Amino acid sequence: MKEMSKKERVLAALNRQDVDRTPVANPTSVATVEMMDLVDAPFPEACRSAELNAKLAATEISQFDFDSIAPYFSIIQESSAIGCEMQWEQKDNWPTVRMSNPIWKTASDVKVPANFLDHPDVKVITDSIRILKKEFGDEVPIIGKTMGPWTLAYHVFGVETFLLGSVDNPDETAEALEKLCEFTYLFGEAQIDAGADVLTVPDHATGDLVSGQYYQKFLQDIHTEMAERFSVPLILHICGRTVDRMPFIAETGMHAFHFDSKNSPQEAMDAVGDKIALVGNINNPETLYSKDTEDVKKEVFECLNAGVQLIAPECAIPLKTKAENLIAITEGISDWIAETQN
Amino acid sequence: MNVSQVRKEFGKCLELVSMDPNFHEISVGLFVKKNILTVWSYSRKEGIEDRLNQIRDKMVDFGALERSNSDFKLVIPEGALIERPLKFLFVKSVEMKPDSEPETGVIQAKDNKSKLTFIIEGSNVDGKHIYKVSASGDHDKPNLRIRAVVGGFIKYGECIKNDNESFIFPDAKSHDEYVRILLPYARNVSAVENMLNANEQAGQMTTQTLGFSQ
Repeated sequence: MKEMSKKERVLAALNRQDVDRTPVANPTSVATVEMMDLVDAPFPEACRSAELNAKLAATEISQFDFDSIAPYFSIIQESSAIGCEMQWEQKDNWPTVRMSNPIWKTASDVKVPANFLDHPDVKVITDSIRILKKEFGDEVPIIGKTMGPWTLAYHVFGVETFLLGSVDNPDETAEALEKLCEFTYLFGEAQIDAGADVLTVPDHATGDLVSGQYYQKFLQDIHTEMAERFSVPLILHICGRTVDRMPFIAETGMHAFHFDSKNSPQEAMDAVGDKIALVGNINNPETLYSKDTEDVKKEVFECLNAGVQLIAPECAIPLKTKAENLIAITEGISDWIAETQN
Repeated sequence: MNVSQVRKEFGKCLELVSMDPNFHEISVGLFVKKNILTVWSYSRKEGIEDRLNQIRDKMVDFGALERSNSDFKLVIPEGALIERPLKFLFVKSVEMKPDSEPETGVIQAKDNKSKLTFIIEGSNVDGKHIYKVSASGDHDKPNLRIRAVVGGFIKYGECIKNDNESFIFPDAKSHDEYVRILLPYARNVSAVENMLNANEQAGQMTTQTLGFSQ
């Protein structure tokens, strides 16, 4: 098969079409402290300056030869713009929202702030995408990221309050989710306008907090509508054990699901059938963070043997991940091809 | 150098310190290729070469390792690579104040769970260098604490238990500097484990660290 460009490869894989080789495309983040030093773009500044953000994001290509770039490293940019209390942390830790001090109480509080898209913590991502688009043109796909309403609800209402509300007053929860979607659409469209070729939608209806039935009840229709409305392929990201909701996710029309290592590649493939592509699921906290390159390659092999369409770490990689383990992902694919072709 | 070149030239990264408190909070790694260790950072900040050599020199002074003629490098005698204590030595060499000097004399440390003071002495017995742990001070059952310290050396020094009060390193040789480095950790394994777990959790994006789990 003719060698594809990185963009052709990723888009074909997302469409479950034939590829010259399986791509490596992390829909979340591959920022590490080593790469921050290499390009002098440390956290949290790299989350707040478009130039630094783009420099750090570009190491996915320049250092690891991955097949895509994902410049939105964290999950808090919109929430900062909305007005949530932030903890920006330091170089080796993730910025977070102080969810113990939620800013809203009910669905009626949900309002898009004026000039939301001009807020510096939102604009940093759209400006970074423009920089990267200029640098990489049409060769490398840029994966944007826009938070789904469930994740935003955790940030603005607080996790416990939101989840209890979903039991006590599900209609109110549904209304809040619907209103929060406006942020997802606004930010997503702005990233597409800036040059994003694909969007990741993290929506943390995680396995350890809510059931598959919950996903079906509150989110399946919302995600289905997103797949219809957005003009680029969508990758849904949900952490944790999610195999119970994968059949519902597969029905949404989204192009891919980014899945966690708590689900084995084969059981995940069996759960989604041929209705959606899978992206994943190299283990972060143990394998990428603390094991060796051979362990990384072993997990790459498991994914490829199961037929996972895009290989990636299961989530944003630990900031202290050693660079050699990231290179091992790409090498694992080459080794697998060499082994299976012999 | 890029990532591929570093890997080819310096080998595997044994340990990575994410923020050097003594030099612009850069990350610093300890790499190993055969019997050569290299202290390396991707940072290009002014003065980085001096800082890397300074860390290298601390490892030599505090770990009794052999300085190589090349920048940033140390030599490990063939077959004498013991990874776990080396990692502790590296982290300590990065984090210690640059004017720190190695301790000399008796290897001892106060117990932080009792009023005991642990003392470790090494001696050669049948070609093996055996380290014996003893304790002075008030305690009902000092042997229990001594046994715990031996356990700490097994955990953090990759040591082999000789008996309840003594241990040897895997190469059966003398490593007084490692013993001195490890004793503060070996005396309180549970606290060290909590510290190491907290370090591991920092920088991980999981449902726990995001606050999205119970």
